[in-house]
Amino acid sequence: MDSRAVLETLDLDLPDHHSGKVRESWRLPTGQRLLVTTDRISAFDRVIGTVEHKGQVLNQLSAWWFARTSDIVANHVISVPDPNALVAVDANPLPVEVVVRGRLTGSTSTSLLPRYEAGERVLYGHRLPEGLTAHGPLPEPMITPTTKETGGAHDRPVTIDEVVELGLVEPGLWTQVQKAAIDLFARGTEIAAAAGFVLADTKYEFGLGPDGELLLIDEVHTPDSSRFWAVDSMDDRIRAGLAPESYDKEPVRLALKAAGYSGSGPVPHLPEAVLADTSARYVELYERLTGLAFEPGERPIADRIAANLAPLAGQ
Amino acid sequence: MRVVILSGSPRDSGWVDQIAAVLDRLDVPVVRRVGSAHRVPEHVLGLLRQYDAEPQPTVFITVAGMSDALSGLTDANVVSPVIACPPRSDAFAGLDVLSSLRTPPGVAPIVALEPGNAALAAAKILGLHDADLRLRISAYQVEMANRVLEADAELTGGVRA
Repeated sequence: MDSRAVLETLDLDLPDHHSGKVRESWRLPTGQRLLVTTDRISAFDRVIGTVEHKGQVLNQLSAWWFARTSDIVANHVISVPDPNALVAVDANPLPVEVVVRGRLTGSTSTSLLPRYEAGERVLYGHRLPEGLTAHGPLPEPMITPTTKETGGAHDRPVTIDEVVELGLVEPGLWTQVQKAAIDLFARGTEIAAAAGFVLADTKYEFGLGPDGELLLIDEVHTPDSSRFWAVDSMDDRIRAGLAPESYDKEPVRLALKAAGYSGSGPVPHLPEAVLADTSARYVELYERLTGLAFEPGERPIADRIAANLAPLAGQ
Repeated sequence: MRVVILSGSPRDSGWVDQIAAVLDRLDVPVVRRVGSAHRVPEHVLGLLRQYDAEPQPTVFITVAGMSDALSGLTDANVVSPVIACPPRSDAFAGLDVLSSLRTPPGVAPIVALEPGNAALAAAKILGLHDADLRLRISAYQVEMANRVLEADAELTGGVRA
């Protein structure tokens, strides 16, 4: 692929640079945070390549969802100065990722489905009834928090009670967070359904603003933070013993597994078709959810971002 | 979608494991059953009728050594494709394999002698109607090819042509 067609890395002459797996962030002269979403894709906790248009889809889709959920909980968005960039409140993040699950699914050892099929009935502190079907709906969406570990340690699943017991979040604030997460998931489920998707599960991050107010931060209901299933093929596939068709990172994860990769050793080179297919799915998800046409921003992406940010960066 | 691996004896489980490992890598669901065409033909026919009547796309892989009656019996009684993958045997100069190769007219099990190849052939058949599976097969093939190219690059000082 033409290296100018994707945004892999970005250098900006700004302080307090943080580099995540997919996002780069800096502090602006105003004290606000600049978040740039690259085209990098991660799987098995590693960056494994780039996917055309992915950064723009994530940034614009998140911005779209933030605007459509601000009546439920305030968020960190200040402005969207570029298709790949967001200016946000420099919030103090809560040390817990709030995962909400609506379906009995997943294939990794921390997922609900393998544990339920192995006979476990109390998962993340929630009791599940007998007779649930693979990939079918849970009696109600459940919150399964994980800790946010620093220094390369793997995040750890905890129960909703442990979040308070471990002193991660104050009890009153945690109640507020849980209510927001459940309401956000209901909103996401409803809007996804209208576009022909099931929102199977998702992850929210929250933070506290300068005045201590609760803010939704990071990203919302994107195909990186969520699992979206196509409704039209779902029932047939589940009947045929298959997982639903996923509009997210799952096809890439499965292609890596097919290439013999399970998270250690050198990352295999995936066929271009796998990454092209993922790009098409991300764009289709964006267009169907928002009802907007996806219009790729000008290239080279890095030059465009630098130009769009110059007024904010005081350059 | 699924692959039903039918073996003639529980002694074949190591061979079946090797087939199942590649199918698992390709995320293709596997059902494992045991049934000898010589010893329990009624049991085998019952299994075949059950799996063949269900609507989901199915490929059978039959694993039977010595005198492989299982592959022909299976193929003659199901409309889904059958791949014979007899376990490797050095006895009698490997002539056991002939019992998997010669079948009467109208009985057409395909033969794949490597367990991973039987799995790959089954996945390719199922992939005809599953674009996602085809991408995974492509990732598997690219990785196989890259292993060869990397081995050659290592011999020539890390330069990959």
